[in-house]
Formats: sequence, structure tokens, C-alpha cells
Amino acid sequence: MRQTLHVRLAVALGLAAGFAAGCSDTGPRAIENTRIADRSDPPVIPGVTLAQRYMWEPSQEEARRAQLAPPGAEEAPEFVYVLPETWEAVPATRFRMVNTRVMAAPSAECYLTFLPGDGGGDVPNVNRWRGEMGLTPVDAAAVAALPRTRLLGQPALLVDLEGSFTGMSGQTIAEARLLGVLLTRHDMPGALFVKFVGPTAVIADNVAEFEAFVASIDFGVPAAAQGGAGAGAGSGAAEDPGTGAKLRWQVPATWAQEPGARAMREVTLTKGECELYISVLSGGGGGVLANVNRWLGQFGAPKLDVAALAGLERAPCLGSEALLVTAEGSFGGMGGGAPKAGMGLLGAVLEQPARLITVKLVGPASEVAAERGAFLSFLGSLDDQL
Amino acid sequence: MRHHFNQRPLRTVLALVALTLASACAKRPEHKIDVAEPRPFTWSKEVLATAGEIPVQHLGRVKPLSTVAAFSLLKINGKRKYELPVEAGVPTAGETLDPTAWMLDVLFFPEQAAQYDVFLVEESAVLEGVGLRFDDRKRRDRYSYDQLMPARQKILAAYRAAIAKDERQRSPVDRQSIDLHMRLTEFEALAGTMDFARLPVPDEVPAALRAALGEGLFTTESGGARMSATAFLTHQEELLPVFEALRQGTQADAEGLQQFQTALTRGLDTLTRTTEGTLHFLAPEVGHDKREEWDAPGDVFAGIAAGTEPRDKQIAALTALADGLRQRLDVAAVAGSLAQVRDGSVALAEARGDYKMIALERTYYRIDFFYNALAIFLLAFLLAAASWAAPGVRGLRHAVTWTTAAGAALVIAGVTVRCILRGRPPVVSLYDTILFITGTGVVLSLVMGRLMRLPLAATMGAFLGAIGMFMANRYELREAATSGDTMATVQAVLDTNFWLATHVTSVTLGYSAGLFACLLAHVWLGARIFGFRKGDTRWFRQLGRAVYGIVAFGLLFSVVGTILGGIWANDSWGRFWGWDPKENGALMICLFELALVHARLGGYVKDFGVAVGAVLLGPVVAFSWWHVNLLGVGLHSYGFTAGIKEWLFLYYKTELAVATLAFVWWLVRGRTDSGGRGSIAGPPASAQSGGA
Amino acid sequence: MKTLLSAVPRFLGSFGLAVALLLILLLLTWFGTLDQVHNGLYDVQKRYFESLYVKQHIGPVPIVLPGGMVVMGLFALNLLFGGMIRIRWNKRNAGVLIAHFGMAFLMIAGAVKQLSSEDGLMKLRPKQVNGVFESSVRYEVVIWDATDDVRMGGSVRSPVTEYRIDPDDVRAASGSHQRKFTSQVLPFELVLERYLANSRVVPAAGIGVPQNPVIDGWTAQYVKPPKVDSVSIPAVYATVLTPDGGRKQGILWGMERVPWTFELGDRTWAVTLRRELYDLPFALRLDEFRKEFHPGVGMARAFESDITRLKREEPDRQVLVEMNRPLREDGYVVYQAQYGTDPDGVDYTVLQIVRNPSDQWPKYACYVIGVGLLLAFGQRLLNYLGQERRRREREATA
Repeated sequence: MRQTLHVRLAVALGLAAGFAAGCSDTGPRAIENTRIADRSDPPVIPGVTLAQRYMWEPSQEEARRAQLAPPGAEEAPEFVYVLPETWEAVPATRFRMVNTRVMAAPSAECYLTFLPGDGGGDVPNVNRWRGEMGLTPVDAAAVAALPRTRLLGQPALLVDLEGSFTGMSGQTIAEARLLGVLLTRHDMPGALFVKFVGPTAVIADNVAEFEAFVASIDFGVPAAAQGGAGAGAGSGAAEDPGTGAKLRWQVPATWAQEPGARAMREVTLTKGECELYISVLSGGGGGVLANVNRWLGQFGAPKLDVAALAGLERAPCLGSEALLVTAEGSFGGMGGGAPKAGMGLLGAVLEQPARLITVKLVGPASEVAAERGAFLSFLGSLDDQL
Repeated sequence: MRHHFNQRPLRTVLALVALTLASACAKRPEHKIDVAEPRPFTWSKEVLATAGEIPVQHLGRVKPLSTVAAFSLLKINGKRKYELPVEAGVPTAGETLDPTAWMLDVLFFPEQAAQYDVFLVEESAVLEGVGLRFDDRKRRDRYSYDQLMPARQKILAAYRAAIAKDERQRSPVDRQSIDLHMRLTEFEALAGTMDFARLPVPDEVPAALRAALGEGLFTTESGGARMSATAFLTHQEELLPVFEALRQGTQADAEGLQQFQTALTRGLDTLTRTTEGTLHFLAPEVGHDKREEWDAPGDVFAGIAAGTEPRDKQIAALTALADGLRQRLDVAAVAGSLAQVRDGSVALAEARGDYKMIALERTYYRIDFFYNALAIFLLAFLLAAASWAAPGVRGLRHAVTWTTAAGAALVIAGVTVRCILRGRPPVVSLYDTILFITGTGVVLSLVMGRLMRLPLAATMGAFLGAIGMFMANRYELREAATSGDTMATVQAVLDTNFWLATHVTSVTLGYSAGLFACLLAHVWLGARIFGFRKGDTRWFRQLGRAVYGIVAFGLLFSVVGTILGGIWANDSWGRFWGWDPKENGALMICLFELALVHARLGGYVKDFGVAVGAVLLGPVVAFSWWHVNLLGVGLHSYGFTAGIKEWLFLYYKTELAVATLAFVWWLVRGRTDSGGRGSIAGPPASAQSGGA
Repeated sequence: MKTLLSAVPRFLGSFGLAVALLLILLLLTWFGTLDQVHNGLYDVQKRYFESLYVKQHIGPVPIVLPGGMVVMGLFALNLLFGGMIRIRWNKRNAGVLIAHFGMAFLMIAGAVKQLSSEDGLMKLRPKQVNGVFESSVRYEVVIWDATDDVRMGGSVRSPVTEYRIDPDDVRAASGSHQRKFTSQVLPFELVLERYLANSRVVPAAGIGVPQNPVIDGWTAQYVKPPKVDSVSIPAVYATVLTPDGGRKQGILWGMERVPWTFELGDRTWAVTLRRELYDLPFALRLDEFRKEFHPGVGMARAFESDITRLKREEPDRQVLVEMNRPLREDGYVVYQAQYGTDPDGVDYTVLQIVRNPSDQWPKYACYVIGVGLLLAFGQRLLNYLGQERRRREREATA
């Protein structure tokens, strides 16, 4: 028994010595590990500058984010907003979809960042901001307890931090304040960040402007469809939803206008089993994409993404172009009734400053197809001039 | 209602204690309630039952309105009732409101509810910080919404400043500011549920409109004219031609109509944009598979605008509710309205199968298992005290055991109901651990007492039970403030009944055993040091073995539970062990218990040493149970526990002091004491051979 | 000598050592837990649990403790000598022995995992097929011949032979240490130095005195690592020594978009620092990804992926992977880890893939330990109860 113990002890000591010897080896090493890959990873691209290689773009902070935003982030949606009078817009960058600053104090910057996916989630992003302000991270419970504001009609986290700001590109503001709004939701196409950071005094004077700015942010129609509706260029472009210009229209020959009106509809026209109606949603009504996808959802059709939305057919309407949406399937709609099969939808949606106009034709699929011409002429007849 | 003691005789025990304490405090100054339309009637039991049964989807779970009300009031007020002062000057002065009654006041008589002193402020410095001073109030006191209202913006600012700080760097005032703001927000949101029924419209409603619609649609509350949004919806056929006429420019009072329409549009806009925190009591009229989110009134209006789903039943319920509000001074009308709302809401919920658990949940809160268990455990403890005072009365000892057993049965029943309500094993949240540890600890004490013929164990069980139930009641308050429920929804990783049932249960059993061993060790040391049972060697040996046995029992469950946790982690996070704080906490318990067991086996300690070790085991368990959640790091930090830290440190210090004192005593006296180490030593170490 | 040789195993197997080690490990665990408030988990693990000694302050008093490696090594010996060899093998100790064997098995499982495991993530979009996963914390240096890529004006899809330097060797090139790597195939030697665990590469102009050498106007800066280890981005300085005595220098950065390339003779070589890649012996295809949320609350209730395993490009087996329900295949374990949404609105799944030969061992160890402890304590309890009963009977008759 004793003998075996000694042997074991010797083996153990030997192993330990060998291990220690292995650790202290510092001579040249042979590269023996190889792997066959089907292509270069990362890719070799001749002519790439060092700035591009090290992803040194507007600010390093955003370059770091790039690992979360894979190539293709450029396809993020457009945004419209109302610029406060004392602010100015500066050119957008890859990561600042909307980029503004306070005219009197250019170091106070306010910009909007859109990242596909959930952008990493609430907690890391709040803590990233805290880190920039020299504050220690907080836990999920503290983040959950943050106040909420609304961004694009959705509840969004509101972060208000004071500290000493160090941007990732090295700029520092000793007594800084950061107001941030953070919207990451599973039903949104991406995560949205609005960040307003600058000297404490400047930010304090601009809180109202910031709140108004955040409230005014909305999805825009992709630039091509916009027809000069003035995305972001505006100063006080938003009209009061209540006093928005009135709509006029011409009833197509074979259609009848319903007397009176229904909930949330400007007008309802009928022909046979078909219904054609206009709704005006103030304040953007949740955005074009949300509305289109809601319609498609009613017909059990697959939802669209931002790219698909941009590819939709267009038709002239109110001096601009409305997006046309079509769907077929079984439709429940409102008002009770069991879903009916073989129904069709031809809808148009047009975003104007601070309101969303929708025109929908719903009925049996064959009749909807037959009435397409009437629908388009009705759409063209809309007029909002006084 | 809570003040009917005859319904719950056991509560009198508590009430007597409370009364003695209360009489020592000064009476609070009177507070008059001054509103144009005070509630002229008391909420009857029937109305409260009706309202309480309304199902509400709240924080991801469907529950009765009574539960929501109870947690809201608990969060705001720190207790589940509000007594209207006798001097309030309203018809129902002097009544006691239960949570549902308070909720109905918030919904139907918000101006009156805004004057209830329900907003608990723990530290008046918070109010001074926002420029409010009340000379006649205590440091910890309750205020009404209207009293705090002037500083609402400053409270918000203080809250924002506080929440921006690192949790560990927040001062008590910071934490209070956060609580105060959350309390105010809770109230505002709840009251906002009824906004749909009072859209602001210009005071001067155009004559044409009044003529067209009739006066019935308009109400005048303090603060201007109001119109119900449902009235707007149900009377659109009349309303819209008027607006259309306006467009044509033929109306005489075109400007007034324009203003009216603007106000209405704005009101609807606000209504549909903010539904967070309001009551979501209307299930969608579509099947369960379509959409799980229930609707608040604002969602219904947004939905109507979107025109996506059938909403007739929802609108009917809202119309009934708005009618109730319009005729709120008529008790019969309000009761009828609530019954309609309840029926409508229940029908919608039942159509989706969402109403199954409501009745059970109502029963669960009506029986109030854990509060009553506290009373029973206290009673058992009193009986035990009596049995010490009168050792001759034999029945008393049995009474202690049986009363403790009754308390344990109540805890177990309560935990069982919670399992059924959630469809989950007993331990999911930190609150559950308190209940489970108490329940199993008491059962352990009873089993121990039976097996080892130690009647003292039952008394200790009652003591543990009382402490546990007291903690549960205290912690429920915190859960109310942070989660709004004690049966909150869980993260995806916790969505596994198998692991909750095995790992979590074993680890929690390990905690339970460790704490009970710690408690018994105190008794052993106390008796030893203060000379009780002097010379009763057998008693000391029995109790010493009990301590050691329970440590061993705890070791089994801690080790198995900890490894099971590793296996679970391996299945969900892809690693068996990650030095995560909660894992470390469990490991520390295992290591300490292993050290204790091996020290005893090696003969380094005997009964005295095991007792001292078991005393120190308490802080180790407490560290794992509570402290690691305070660290705010790691994957397991699922409990929000700020403010508990002070208690924990107090506990650590106490146990450390007890252990140190005991050790010093042993150095000075214990070794030479006639009843000392030698005579009460455990069996000699014999598990190991002497040499190789 | 003889006494020493017998004293050592006796000491190693003693109860005293067991108690001391358990208490030291308890202290280490405690410190290591508290330290996580201030430092990242990775640092904490290295400092307390994968170390030889630990310097710690209790208040103002500095103490030195043996590190986790030493304690656990001694603990293994203690368990072996005391708990398995020297302990009497009899019925009375059966439970304890079983528990000790289970414990040893658990420690072996841990050691195996420590020595030989691959752990990484794989992102999959619906219908995408992938057979490679990447580590989230380990960065390797890779060299390959990119002549074709450059000649074609960009990366071409053709097999590439990668020469790889192990992450541990890369990391070892930190501080004042240099590491030189050679190969019989490569016409140059590579020297790595100044490894930075978390870094950014910035233009040298305007940052004052750079901490590290400036190469082509750029320099690497050390950044304090974030608490979440997986977002650290390392950098390392690379020097190529050519046979003619020439030197070429480049900064390799963990997130670089393209590799560092240089020409040598008529070839162009690429060198990069990237997350370590691992090849699976099979490929995975995402058929469908689903997620569910608690109603009205932004908290995920469940998410899961339908996966098809492909072998030699042929569908082999369909499985569902969800939280708490991994797929175990060919020594690999596939977990549902995260998910995300691409810019085109398509949800993708992120699977965690682990190769760990000892994957299931802890489970068996747990059964063994549980049975052992139950036996040990159950036996003691029954003995005790029997004694008590007999004693009471004696008392009753007396």
C-alpha cells in the first residue's frame, strides 16, 4: 500500500514539473494547425484604406456598433421630424439617420440612430450611454424602472444622465448631460435611439425642444415615394392634426356615397358588396409600414419589410404618390361577422406631415379587381386645397 | 372588510398588539376632503364583489381587478386599506376602504380619491427636497395626491436624477424619490383608465351641437365640460353631418364647432396614444391564437380607428362604464354599470379561456393564507411561552405542536394554491422562496421534534414560521412596488417546470435546513452559556445531534441542488459552472457545510463547535439567498432588493457577534465548565482509519 | 526519508487539510463573488479561480491566499488520498465513498471541459446552411495566400489553406513578451507582440503621446475591457521577417473589415486577427425560427428554432432547439442562445455550439453523489433512531 502511494506521488510530482516546464516555453513555435476554408474570411478587398479596415468612421463608438449592424444597415427606414427653431440639421452619416445640433452651442448634438434587430437590447445600450458619461452600469431592474416617453407612438425608455462625457472619438465635455430615448421592441423592424448630449446648461435649456423633437419623429415614406413632402427639411412643418387641411373628393359614377359617416372614416362609398372609404389618422397613425402590415394581416397575407414597402406600386394622389397595397384572402374586418373567404383589398396609403391618409377598397376579390380603375380615379380626385 | 374582526378571530391577536403600539402614537391632524361631488354612498359588498371579479390583464397575467387594486394600493399606501377620517366632511366619512373600494373611487371619483392621504412618504426630506413643507406631519407620513401635485414636476425631476444614478450610489432620499414618483404615476395611470369617458370639450358647446345631440352626452366636472368618447362613437351619425355642414361653411357658429372638433380629435389622439398603466380589462373579440394582448379603453379606440377587428362587445362594455360614470351619484346606476362591465369582460375572457383561474385567485386572496399563518405561529409561540411559565400543564405542549402544525398546513395550502394558479412548481420568485423555506422549515422542525422527542423543536418551528411569514408580508410590499404582483411572469430561461421543480426546490430546501440548523444552534448555545438545563447532558446531546443532523440534511440538498443547477445551466447557457454569483452562493453553502461535517468527523470540533459553526451558517445562507441578488451582476439577479442590504448587514453582525461571544465564553469558561466539552462531546471520529 | 514519504500522503489525506481547503475555497468564492461588482467575470475567474495565489485586502490588512488552481489541485489529492484511498472500505462508509467517487468524477469532468472544449456561436437565417461556428471570446491569428483574391480584384470563392495560430499563443504575446512563429510552408516568420485584450485602432495624429508604436499613421490603444467579455476587441502588433532580412509591420485588430496584406515575391499574403472558427462535422439549416412574448410585457416567454442537420449536404435529421432543450449530436451540443432581426426584417437565430466530451458527466456525478449522501446520512439517521428506540425500551423496562 505504502509503495503504491509513493509511486503515485512521484507521478503527480513529475506531471506537475512537466506542466510547469511546458508553461515556461517561449522559443519559436511552429505553425501546425491548418484549415481549409472555402473563401477568405474576412474578405480581401484591394484598395481599402486603413480607416475602412479599422472601421474608423464618424465616430469610433459607432464603428464598434457596426458589429451589431451588419452590412445592409443602410436599408433602414427614412424618418421625418420637426426641427426646433434654435437647432440646425447637419448631414446625416451612416449611423446618424437624423443629425442635428444646437445652433448656439454646436457641441450639443442630437441625433437618431437606427439599428436593425434589437440593437443589443435595452440594458447594454443604457449602460453604453452610462459608460460614455463616466457612470457605472446598472442592472436590468434599474433599466426597467426608467421613465417612459413615447417615440413613434410606442413606449420608449427615457434616459437622463449627468456626468462627464467622453465620446468614443475622444471628444470630452466635463459637465455634460445626456438625454436619450431608446426604443427596442420585438415588433419593430429595428432599435431606435435618440441621443441628445452636450454641456449641462445647454441641454437644460433645450429640454422642451428635445421633447418636441422626439414627439415629432415619425417614419417617412421612402424618399422616392415622397414627392417633395419635405422630410426633415421643415421648420414648423407639422400642422395641427385637428386643423389639417380638409379633404374633398369626387364620387365615381357607379358608386354611392353613404349618408352620414362611420367611426374614424372621412367618407364611405359603396357599390354592391364593395366598400371604399377614407380614413385620416392624425399624428402619423403608427406609420406607413405598420398600417400596411395591419391590412395585410387582416387578409392573412405575409407582412412586408421596409425594403418591400419601398418596392410597392404607386399612384398619384394629392400632388404626391400614394403606395398601393393589394391582398386577397379571407377577411374579418370590424363589425363582428365571421371572416369571409375570397375577399380582396386594394388600399392606398399616403403620409403627409403629421397625418396619414388611407383609402381602402374592400369587397369580393373579383369585384375589387374590376373596380381598380374607379379606385385610382377616386384617389386622383382627392383634393386638400382650401 | 378588514375591520370586522369577528370574521377572523385570529387577527385579534395581532390587533391587540397593534392597538397597544398605536395608542402610544400621537393622533394625526384632521384632514377635510373638499370636492364638489363627494361620493354619497358607501360601496356595498355586492358592488365590491362585482367589481373585484372583473378580469384584468396586468403585467402579462390575467387576474381579478381586486388583485390589481390590492397591489396598487399596497404599492402606494404601504398597506391594503384606507380609512376616511371621521372629520373628512364627506357623507361616508369614517368608512374603511378596501383596495377595490379605493380603486372604484380612483375610477369614478378621482377628485375625491386625489384627496385621500394614501401616498406613503417614508422620509419627509424627500418632500423638502422638492419644496414641499408640512409642519403638522410626521417624518414618515401619508399625503394626498392633491397635496403633492404642486411639486409634481420637481418630483419627476428628482426621480429622473435618482434613477440616473447607479443603484449602489443612491441615497435613501433618492430611493424615496423613485418610489414616490412611481406611486404618483400608478395613481395617474389608473385614473386615466376612465379618460375615454371624459374627453375635454370647450365649455361652450355650440348650440347646434347641443340641439343635435341632447344634453345627456355632456357632463360638467370640476375643470370644464366633458364628453364621453363612447358617446361620440355611438352618436356619430348625428355628429358628423354637423361637422360636414361646418365644412360647407353654412353653420352660424362655425368657429365653435371647429374648436369642438379640434378638442375632440386631440382628446381621441391622446387617448389612443397612452394606455400604459391603465386597466386592460377587455379581451380581444378574436380567438386566443390571434392576439394575446388585452385592450385598455385607449386601445379599443385606436383599434376602432384602425378598423381591424370586431369590437362591438368591447364598445358595449365601455358604453356601460361611461354611463356609470355619468350617473355616478346614483348608486344603482353605478352598480348596474359595473355589473354590465363585469359580464362583458368576463364573457370576452371566457370566450378565450382566460377566465379559469380568476375565482381561485379571488379565494386565494380572500383566505389570506400567509397573514393568518403569521397569526397562528404567533399564537403557537404564546402557547409555548405559557407552557414554560406553567410547565405542569401537559396539554400546552401538545397545543404548541398542533398549532404550529396548523400554521404549517396553512402555508402549504397557500403555496399549493399558488402552484395551481401559475401552473408551476412552488418556487419561482424570491417571494416564493420565503414561503417555501418557511413551510419546509416548520415541517422539518415538526418532524425533528417527533423523531428526536424534542418538544422544543415545535416552538422553534413556530418562531421560524412567524419570522418567515413576517418577512413574506414585508417582502410582498416590495414585490408590489417593483413587480406589481407576487406571481409575475418569468424570463424564457425560467420557463421550465422540470428544473424549477428539481434544482430550485433542492437548493431552497438546502437554505431552509441551513437556517433551521442555525436557529437550533442559537438555542443550544444560549442554554449552554446561560446555564439553562444545566446538567441535562442528554438534552444537550440530543439538540447537538439535531443541529448536526440538519446540517447533514441541508448538505445533501445543497450539493444535489447546486449540481442540478450546473446541469440546468449546461442545458440553457452551455456551461456547467460559470462562477456566477448565485452559483457561488450555493457553492459557499456546500463548502461551509462540508467543512463543518469534516471538522466534526476529524474531531476538530464537537457539539459546541458545530453549534458555533451552524450559527455562522446562517449568514452564509443569507448571503446566497439575498445578498447575491443585491450585487446586480450575473445571470441570476432576478430579484430587486434595494433597502434589504441594511437588514442583511445587521443580521451578519448579529451572528458574528453571537459566534464570537460564544467562542470567547468557551475560551474563558466552557473548557473547564463541568457540563463542558468533554461531557457533551459527540461520538468520536471513526469514519477514517488512523494510518495507511 | 521514509517517514517523510509516509507523512506526505497522510497530510494530503487528512481531515485537517480538507477543512482548511474547503474554508479557503469558501473565501475565494466569496471574494470572487464580491469582486464581480467591480470587475468582469473573465478577470475575476483568472484572478481567483485560475490562479496560483491571490492577494486580497480585508479592510486595510493584506493577506495572501493560495489561488483556485492550487486549492483545487490539492483538493483533488485530498479527496483521492483521504476520501478514497485511506478511508476504510466498509459498509459503514459505503455512502461516503460513493459520494467521494461522484465528487472525483465531477472534478474530472471539470478538468476535461477545461482542457478540451470548443464553445462558440452560429448565426442562421431561415433556410441558411452553415457548418462553422465562431468563438465569442477567443481570437486567433490566421495567415493565408491571398494572391488570387487580389488578382481577381476581391475575394473569390475558392478553397483557401489557412495557417492558424492558437488564441492562447496570441494572448501570450502581451506585455513585454514576444512570440515568434515559423512554418516550413510559409516563406517568412511572424512575430506577435503587444497583445491588447480590448482596444481600438486610431489615427496617431492628435492623441498626444501614443501608448504603442505608430504604423502607417495608426496606433492601437488599450481600452479598459467592458464587463461583458464577449464585446472586448483585441489587437496585436505583427511583424513579418522575410528571408532577406526585411521587416514588415502591421496592426491586427479583432474587428478589422479586411485582413492585413503584404507582398512577398510574386505572392500576396493576408494576416488577420479574428474570432476563432470551428468546423462542425455536420451542417445545420434553420427551417423556422419562432419567438413568443408575454402579453403586454416586453419580456420573452420562449424562443425556438426548427433545425435540420445535414450530413454531406443531405438532410439527416430534423430537431427542435429551444431554451433549456439543446440538441446533442456527435459530441456537440447545440443551444438556442439568442435571436435578432436583420435589416430586411427577417428574424435570425443565434445558436450556441459547444463541444465538450464531458458534457453529460456532471449529471451522472450528481446521481452518484446524491445516492452516496442519501445512503450515508440515511444510514446514520436509521442507526440513531434504532439506538434511541432501544434506549427508550430499556428505560421503559427499567
